[in-house]
Amino acid sequence: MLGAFVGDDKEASARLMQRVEKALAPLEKVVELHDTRRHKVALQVQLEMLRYCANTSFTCFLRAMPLTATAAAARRHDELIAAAFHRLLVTEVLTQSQRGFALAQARLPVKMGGFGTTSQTEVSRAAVVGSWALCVEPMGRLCPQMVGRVSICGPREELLPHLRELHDSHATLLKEHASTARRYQQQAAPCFHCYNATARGYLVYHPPNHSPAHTLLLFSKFDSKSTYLTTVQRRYSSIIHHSAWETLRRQLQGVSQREVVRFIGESQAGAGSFLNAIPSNPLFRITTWAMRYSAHRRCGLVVSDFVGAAQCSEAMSARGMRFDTLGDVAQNGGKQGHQSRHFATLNTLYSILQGAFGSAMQREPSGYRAYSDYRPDLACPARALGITTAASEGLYIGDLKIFSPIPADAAETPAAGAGAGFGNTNPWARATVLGVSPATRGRKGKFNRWNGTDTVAEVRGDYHRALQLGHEVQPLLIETMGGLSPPLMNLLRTGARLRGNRLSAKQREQASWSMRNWLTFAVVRISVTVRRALAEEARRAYETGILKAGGGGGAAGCWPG
Amino acid sequence: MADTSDPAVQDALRSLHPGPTLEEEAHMADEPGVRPHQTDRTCFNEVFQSTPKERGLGGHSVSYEECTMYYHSGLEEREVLFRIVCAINNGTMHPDAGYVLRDCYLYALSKPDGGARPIGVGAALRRLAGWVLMKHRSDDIRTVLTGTAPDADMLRRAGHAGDRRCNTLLQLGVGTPPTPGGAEILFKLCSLALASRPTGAILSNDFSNGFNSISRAAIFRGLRRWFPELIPTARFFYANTARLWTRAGADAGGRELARDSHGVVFGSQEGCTQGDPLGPLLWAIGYHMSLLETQAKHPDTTILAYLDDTYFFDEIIAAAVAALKSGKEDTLRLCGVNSKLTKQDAFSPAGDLSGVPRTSRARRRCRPMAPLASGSAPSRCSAPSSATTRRRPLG
Repeated sequence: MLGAFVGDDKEASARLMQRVEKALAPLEKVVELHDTRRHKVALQVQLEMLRYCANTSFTCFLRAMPLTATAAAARRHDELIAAAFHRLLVTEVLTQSQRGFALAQARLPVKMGGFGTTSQTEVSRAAVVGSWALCVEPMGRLCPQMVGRVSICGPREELLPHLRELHDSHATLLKEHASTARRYQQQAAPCFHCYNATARGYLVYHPPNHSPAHTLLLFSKFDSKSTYLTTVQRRYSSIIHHSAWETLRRQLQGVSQREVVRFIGESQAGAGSFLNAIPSNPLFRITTWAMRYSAHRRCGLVVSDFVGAAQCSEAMSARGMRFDTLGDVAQNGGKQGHQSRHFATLNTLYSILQGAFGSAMQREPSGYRAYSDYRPDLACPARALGITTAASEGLYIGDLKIFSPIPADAAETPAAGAGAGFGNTNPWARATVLGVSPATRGRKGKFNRWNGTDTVAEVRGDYHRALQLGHEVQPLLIETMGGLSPPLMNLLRTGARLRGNRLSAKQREQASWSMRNWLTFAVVRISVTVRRALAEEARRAYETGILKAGGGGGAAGCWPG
Repeated sequence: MADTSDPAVQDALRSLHPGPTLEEEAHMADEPGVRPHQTDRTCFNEVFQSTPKERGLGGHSVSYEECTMYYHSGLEEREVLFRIVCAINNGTMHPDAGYVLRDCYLYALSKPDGGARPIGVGAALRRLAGWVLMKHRSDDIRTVLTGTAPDADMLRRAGHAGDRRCNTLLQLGVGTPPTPGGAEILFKLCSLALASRPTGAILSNDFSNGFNSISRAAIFRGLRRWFPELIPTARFFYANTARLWTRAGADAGGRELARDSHGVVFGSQEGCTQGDPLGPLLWAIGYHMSLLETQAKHPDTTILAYLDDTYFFDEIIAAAVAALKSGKEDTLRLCGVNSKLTKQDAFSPAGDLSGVPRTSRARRRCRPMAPLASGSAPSRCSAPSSATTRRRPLG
């Protein structure tokens, strides 16, 4: 009936299973897509088809049919999506547990560090609750002769099977929500604050937008006009996603500190936005080798395109380290430094911000000596951003930093990043740009990163003079995991506000359906640029190392792209 | 995609576009004293600010992108566009513009049974103007399609007392909010009804080529009763034959007028044109009177419709069968649309369906229909019957 099946659950389940097999059969062809001489974005297209076309095709059944009828088909759907995901990222050489972690991460929403290939089995309870929550009121109003005699809110044993299922799903979700909320609450307690050498306290990170308990309506309120009903499925799905995120974080703690830092880094704002880019415009295209590298790094998988060639030739990085399988050495130890990624990202950031702030925004201004000893990456009159500064004609100065939370030797990964977002990079960026002022010092005694007791040495930042003159200085930090730091996001939000969050005519031409407003457009563009630059940097590091070791490199044909 | 240069496909498409039956100009005349529809500026802005990202080229080769770019190119341009949309939606556009805006490209999708499913792509400007209208009037449309019960005269004509209690029929395919959507409500209503009254039965009816063959007289009759201000809008598009273009030929810039295998040109002369955003509304309004007649004859039966899919639920199976039969007859009489017997179906969890006549579709069990949400549309398929089922198709 209307796309779904009504009737005997067993029969409906069998029919649905057939339908899933038929609908996802083309995935076999999707995973066989490959680059051609003209088009080099096969993997980007494949991942989008998997996420937007294949994985979403089951939602309508979850909303319309009872759990008993959809459970088997949802499992099959998940299996087929998982198989395609593993084939796309070439994970067959990995261990079962590595594959499991990668898949668990891929199941998370993009904003929470995943790939958006949500498990239909997991969200089925949220879909049932979301659908009924919205249908109860119109059903009772429009068709009282059918609904009037049915008890929807009565005792469980008196309910019809479908409604009993709804009650159970609702109760389970609320329980899960309470459990995750309790855990988050514990992490927010002072003993879990994470301090660093600049004596600033950081809360332990967890993804934002965990639905507050009062927005999860009781069953008896489903027929109300509450505003919390508007995005009700998303509200209940977030319970499942947050719970899965927290579970994966705890599991990764048992693997290594590096893995937790990576996972938290990938969960930051903008880190996964490159997955939202549709390659209809060259600005948003990521070639297959770069996409695979980015996807492998995001999931903590072996960067298989590079590792084979590097290990064959026993190549070493510019700093004399053997290339590791996860790409940390290549990402941190390139001979040519990090100027290329900085240059490419600054160009993109400037062109985006210029669209919002106009000519007021300057890139690497030449007349900076009047207010700073260090040439800023970006400068703009503070009033253009609506910021009040101590100086009468104060400037907003932004310094772009792209830092890696994981060092070349992953065993030395600092612990702060495993607890706080940007925990391994932000203190360093702030110390470099702003310095550590006397005001942040003062805690005496032996350094303890959990309670912040420390004696902190003063650090003079690059923009010491600008700060003294009363200008507003911010480190615009981007991690190599792709996350955009809060100051950068705030700057972009200010730009969005000035533009009314609308795209210009030119940007509309460049954008695709996945970017309907200025902020999304800006974040996706920066994310794509950063990922491309990082992949290119790693590729150069490998290439240099392999050539130095006498390997074939690109010439030998074992090189991607 | 089916090849529209294939004579079999051409004939299939021709058979889906019947000739005109509306001959009286009076059917389309304005309702005296009624002001034509006035376009709402807020809805206009909402639609044109962010049009769909696809190009959607129709007969006049103007894309959504170009419409939006023109909208954003300045206040004067926006005002010009607004006046054009107003003129389209109140039917005051110059008649010559109708030749361009009415045209649509006709594509054919292959069906599993070897037939062709026609897909029309109309002019982008027409579609955008239609969306503006639908956005503006969706509340009114919903009120009519889910809140109209047969009046006392209808009940008396059907042989009942004028004050007899009568169910309100529900058309949930147009005007319902996108979430949860009419389909979801309909599905849940049916599930709940079957679970709470297992001896009752639900019977479904579908039509053969419904949208293309509903009589324009029925559409205008419905508009005159519920939305007389939309008559000029519908007349602008439906007073004349809409030309259908196919991409098969290389003439005329890679397109040619749709023809059958004998080379006879055909157009859209009856029903709703494929690709018209007002098509679902016009279908529902044209069909509504027929449903009201059926509801008046069977006041205790629950009638639910999602566009051309109709469901009859009754605790007494014989009453549901009678309602289905009446519905079939009323639709043929008032709308000129034939029911498709092979798509009729019946289900009851515990009721006795032995009185339900068998047809060639007796082996069919669960029936998938139109898609609910953004997911891909499931195909209609059949499954082997089982001894446990109590379900029988209707004839």
